[in-house]
Amino acid sequence: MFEHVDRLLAAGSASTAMLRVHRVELLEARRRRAAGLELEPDLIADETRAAVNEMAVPGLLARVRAAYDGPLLLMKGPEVAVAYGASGLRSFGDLDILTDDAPAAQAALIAAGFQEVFDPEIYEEIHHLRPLWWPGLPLVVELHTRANWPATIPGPSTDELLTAAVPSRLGAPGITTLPPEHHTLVLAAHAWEHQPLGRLGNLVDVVVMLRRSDEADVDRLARRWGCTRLWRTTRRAVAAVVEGEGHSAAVALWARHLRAGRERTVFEWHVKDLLSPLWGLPARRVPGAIASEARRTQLSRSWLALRNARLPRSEYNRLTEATG
Amino acid sequence: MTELRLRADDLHWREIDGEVIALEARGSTYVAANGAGTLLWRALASGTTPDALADELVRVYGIDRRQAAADIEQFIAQLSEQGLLAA
Repeated sequence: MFEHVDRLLAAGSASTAMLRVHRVELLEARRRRAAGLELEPDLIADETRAAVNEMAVPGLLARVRAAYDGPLLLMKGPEVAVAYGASGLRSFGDLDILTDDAPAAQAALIAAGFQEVFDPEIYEEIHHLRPLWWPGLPLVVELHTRANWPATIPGPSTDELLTAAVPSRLGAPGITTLPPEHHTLVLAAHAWEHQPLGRLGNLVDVVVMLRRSDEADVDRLARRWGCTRLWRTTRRAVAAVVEGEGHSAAVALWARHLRAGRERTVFEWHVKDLLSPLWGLPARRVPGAIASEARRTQLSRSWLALRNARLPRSEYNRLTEATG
Repeated sequence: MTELRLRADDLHWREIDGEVIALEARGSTYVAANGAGTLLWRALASGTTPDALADELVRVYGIDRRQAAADIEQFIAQLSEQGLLAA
């Protein structure tokens, strides 16, 4: 399943830090082991951390299940990791659980001994409540009020997703997940909302779930959820980058960093901001999104951005922070 | 002789790069075992005896049999104290 990704990783020279940014550090560890190559301590530490997190999942899910009676639908994270076909290939640090009444579930979990963590301001008015931690376990639980979805695309309702639920592949009693077709689109939309075609690992997630899906059903669902363009762009990027088949204009124009396993430069970041609406939003939303991005670009970008167009985005951010 | 075996419930473990990392899920505690510990852990996973464990240490590490038996006794006591062995 990962032959082409292996070739990309072998051809690249990404640091462990950059492999982590792309969420493919465990695939690189697997590739190096299979090739009989030495593993640096950082990658062994990543494997260990992933193993600990995987082992913590059943117990944590059992505690969540015992604390709340309503529906608990596990998305992403370990549910996607199991679709990779072997343990220790996909890292995760939380359990994303969609439920019917997230505030009630949050209260029930707190009453059962879970503790809220991290800055509360971060979680105001987003798609999930403040993360919950069970003392001693390495993962946090995030109770979702809805799937994370680009704001200008209708997407599915929480009710629709909960109604479509199927038993979790982890075998956790009373825990459900999405059918693969639904999950494929939720992964694609979540990744797009985070950063369109941003991480190689997000594309690998999509392909492993897609391989368990009826692709015609995914296409039909994408039409119903109003995300046909986003899905078509993601599908072509997955084919071009992860499967080594076909061509993706989006990858060629504004996501070349994926194949190189590197970070976007400042210039590529701006091109992505300007062009990605063309590839991802419903047609009627595109002119407004591009005009809005162009206005934002003109107002907020300075000569400093132009002078540093070839810098990796994170270096540029550090530079602007340092110079105030 | 009494058989020793790792507990089956709520004890998860993996081997990473030749070392065991385990999670005892009831108390949310972690255990890590180095090379020799990993050797013993594997044997305990399928069931063994203190004598067989000591023999294994002697065979692999070439240490004195009495020293091996003492090391095994200490290792078993630690696992037992942490509730990791089947009753």
